[in-house]
Amino acid sequence: MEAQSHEDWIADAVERFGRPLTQYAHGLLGDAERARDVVQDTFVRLCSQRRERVDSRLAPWLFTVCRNRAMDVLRKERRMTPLTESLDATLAADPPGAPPETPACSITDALGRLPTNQREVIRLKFLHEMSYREISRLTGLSESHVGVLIHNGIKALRRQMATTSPERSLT
Amino acid sequence: MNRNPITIDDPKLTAYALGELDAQERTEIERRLADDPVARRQVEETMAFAVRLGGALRAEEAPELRAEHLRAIRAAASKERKVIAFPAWLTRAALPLAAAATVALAAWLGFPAFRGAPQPSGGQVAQAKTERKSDAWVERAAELAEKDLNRQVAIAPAPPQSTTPIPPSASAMPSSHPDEKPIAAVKSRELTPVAPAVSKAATSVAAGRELTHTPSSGPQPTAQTAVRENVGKLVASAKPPAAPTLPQPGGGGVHRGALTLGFEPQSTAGGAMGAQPPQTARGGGAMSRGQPSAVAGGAMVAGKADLSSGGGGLAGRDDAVAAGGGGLAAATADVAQAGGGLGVQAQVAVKSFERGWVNNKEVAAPSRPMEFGALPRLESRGVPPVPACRIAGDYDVRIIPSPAPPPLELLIVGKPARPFDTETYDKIEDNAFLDARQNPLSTFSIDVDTAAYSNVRRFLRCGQLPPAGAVRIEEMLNYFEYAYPPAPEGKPFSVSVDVVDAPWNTKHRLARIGLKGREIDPANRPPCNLVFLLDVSGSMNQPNKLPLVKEAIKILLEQLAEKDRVAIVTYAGASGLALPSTPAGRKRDIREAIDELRPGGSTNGEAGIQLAYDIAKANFIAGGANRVILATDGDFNIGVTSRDELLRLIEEKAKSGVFLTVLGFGMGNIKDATLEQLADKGNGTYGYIDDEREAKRLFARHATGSLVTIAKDVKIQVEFNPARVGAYRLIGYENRALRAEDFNDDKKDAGEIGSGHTVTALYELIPPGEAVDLPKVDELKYQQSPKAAPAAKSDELMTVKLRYKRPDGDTSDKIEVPVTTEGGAIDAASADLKFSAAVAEFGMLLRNSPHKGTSDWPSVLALAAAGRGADSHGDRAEFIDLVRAAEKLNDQR
Repeated sequence: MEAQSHEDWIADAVERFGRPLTQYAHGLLGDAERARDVVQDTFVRLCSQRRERVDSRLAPWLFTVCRNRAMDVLRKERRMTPLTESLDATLAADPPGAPPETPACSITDALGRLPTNQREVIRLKFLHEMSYREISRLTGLSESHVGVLIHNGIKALRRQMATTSPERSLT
Repeated sequence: MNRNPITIDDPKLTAYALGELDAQERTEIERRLADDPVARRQVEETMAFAVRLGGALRAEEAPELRAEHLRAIRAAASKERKVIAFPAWLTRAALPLAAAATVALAAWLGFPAFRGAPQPSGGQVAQAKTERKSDAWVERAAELAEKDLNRQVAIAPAPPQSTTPIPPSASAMPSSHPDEKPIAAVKSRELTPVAPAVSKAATSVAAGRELTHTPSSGPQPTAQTAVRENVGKLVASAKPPAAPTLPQPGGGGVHRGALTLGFEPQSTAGGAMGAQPPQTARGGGAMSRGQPSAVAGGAMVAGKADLSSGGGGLAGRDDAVAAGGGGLAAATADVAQAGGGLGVQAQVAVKSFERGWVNNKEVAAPSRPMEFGALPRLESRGVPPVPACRIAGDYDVRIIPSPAPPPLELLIVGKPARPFDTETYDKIEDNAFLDARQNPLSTFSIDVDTAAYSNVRRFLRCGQLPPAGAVRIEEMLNYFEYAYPPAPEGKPFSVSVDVVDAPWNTKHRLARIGLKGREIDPANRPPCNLVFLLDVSGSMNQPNKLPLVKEAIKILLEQLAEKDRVAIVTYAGASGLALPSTPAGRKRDIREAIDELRPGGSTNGEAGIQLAYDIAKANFIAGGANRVILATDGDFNIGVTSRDELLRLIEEKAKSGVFLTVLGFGMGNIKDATLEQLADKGNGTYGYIDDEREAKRLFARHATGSLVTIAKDVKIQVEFNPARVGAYRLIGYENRALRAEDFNDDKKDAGEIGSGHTVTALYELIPPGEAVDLPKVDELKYQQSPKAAPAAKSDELMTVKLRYKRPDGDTSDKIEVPVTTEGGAIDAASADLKFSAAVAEFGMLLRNSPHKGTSDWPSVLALAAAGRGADSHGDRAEFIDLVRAAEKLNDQR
């Protein structure tokens, strides 16, 4: 087979990972527009990479760059609006398990109430289907820490859902 | 009670449920679970919840990249090859930059574990060293820089030694090349963390010597200024480099703009990897709660030219970059951006619609309006206002700094900044002429698809010429109805052949093979079991997608009767049954279900296909028309994503006797070739619905034909008589070609024909003795050329053979039609024949076929006008309008 051109390679990467990355960035940033920009930037950076260097670990590469860009954006915003509590609140983990006032009406709704770090690993695990190890590599958290976050996250989600979920009556 | 119970609140249990434990841990847990029903239940619940959670997450609506983002990426991707357009000196000067950025980033990425580590020392910087070479040019560039760099390092203050050993993982990383010759790194191990900013600056310096020419003092410039200076530098470095100076911590920062490209705060740390990550890696990383600053250090961002800043600005900047091409992807991006910020004028000249940046795919220009609003700082010169959906292909961009110290003209000669879109088309090579003596048999599968015509129409209506790959001439021919004789009693279709002079080459002939499927009276058609499989993913949320799909279903619904059944399956992240199979008489229920459909989530085509076929099979009507109707914009993202897997799945499903209709909707995303092949493999047809009128044509006018298949695996084989035909060429059907032996092989899949469908195939024939430019094959040494059989002496030009199966049959029947007509002038031909010749010419012009001969727009128009006939539905009049539109667009090109 003839070697794929650089542009084809990039195009394939965009096709395969464009949506997962945008979903991921969206989850991190909570804003579609910035998520798109971050993903664009991620792929632009990929363009300057040698394929043979990154191809074997393309997904981790993309997720890592995407994550860093998203973190940059968050940090920058934080610098620029130091007094708005929203971002600090987002970045700071709420005490896990703080019961919400009202029951969540959907899983994703409930997910939105989790602390950022739990939310991120849960999305990585269940949306992007990464293993604990992959999540650990990506986030820099230890594998056991990832395990605890996911465990606590699921617990919290189930607790929230229990108030509304039909499963409640089944169990 | 278990003496050693697992705490229910044990993350290990969750990990077990999620399959995250290794064998040993698993055994251990399982042993404990055996005695602990509560824990077992917990595990089961976790598993169930995981499935639910995954489904819910996949169903979430996700933002999609828009055309401007794709364009920017595509622009960056195409830059690499443009580096050759640069003068050698410029390239050389710039290379280390890019190399440093690339390498450092790559290096860092290999070490996720180090993210969150504190800033590296100023010396590690030098680590840029690690200029791993992987490519010749990087290496060469690195060598060029080596001398200067070493000198710099030599004069660098020796920092206290760091004692941290390199973590083992570092050397194990793929991108780490410990054996490589470091350029400047050398000293890096002995350096300690200085200010992050310094390290970054130093990195820059290490990266390319030309940087060292910049003034290293003075106020800290902004990133953009820095970039501009670098640009100047690039020019300056045409001259022999001056002695490098050691960058000052502050001044060195000047270059960050250009250099930080690939660097994140953390990445700097990683970049230092080769050097040595300080051991105090702070835990937590960016995500660590409440401590964002732990990661890194504000330093990083300091002078960074932030590529992602300002969404609006992106398009403009990236276009400039696209055209640009300086080799160094990111570096150039910065140049362009800086340029913009500095009041640099970029002159954009829209030159042409050059097409195709992908080798074997053609990428259509986006049909969405291009946001020129983002280009305020690009001065467009002599460009006529761009019509709303028209996208220009090429830009030449020159960036000329206005207040220009030093005088500089960065001339970026662009390859097409072909807007990047995700519409893809397979490349089609026109069938070539074949010598009738050497290749007496021409075999192909019929094709009643019409998608290519409506897709071409969509392009032209948007003021754009379609990419050649989107123009499948056979589908254009088959879009129109022709008055072929009705099928004889007992046969599924009639076959007729006409021959005339080819209008685009008076020495050639044009042979038309026409098939007409038996017309079934709609009142007597067999009952239908229809399962709509609807893509309701986020990308379908456009007026010409999901709403049009709903409209189309309602149109079809009107054609259905009590005896028919309808079900609706949707797919997006999680596939669902929107409407169980319901008698078509319950129109209100069905309409309600249609109205309920909402777009959202990403696409899981696989699960949807499974479910749709399951339902179709569960409600199978023997002797009826069982059909899955897939409506999509062609974006299959999760589940079975590769084209091949998807095709295999469909091929498998098609064996169940359920036929398939694939309907493409929308634009910008359409995977034309995938959809066509799906239909092909799934015993189906492929249509493209661009508007309500097309929906009506397919589902009202041709409802019976669209629903009821009267013959399947229809193959055509033509044997030419070399005594009468020197060479021949099949027009269109390029991707329907079969091998000669496939004709009699009933296992080989081919096209289906529906009730009342017409199929038209055109051959261009060259009489024997006429000069043909064909590659010659040597005479055989061991065999004599086959002798002409007695029939060759007959008047027969050729014999057309057809094979087909009944819709539920496994063995084929054969029809043979000898053709003796010598044909005549096109002027004397029937209106239908003239019209089909017009369509063929039109297709050849759009494809710029090498065989188009004397075809031109006026001749297409003349033939079409002469062949317009009664045109009761206005299809041919519309064709004539499209030809005019194409002519105009072509003139503008």
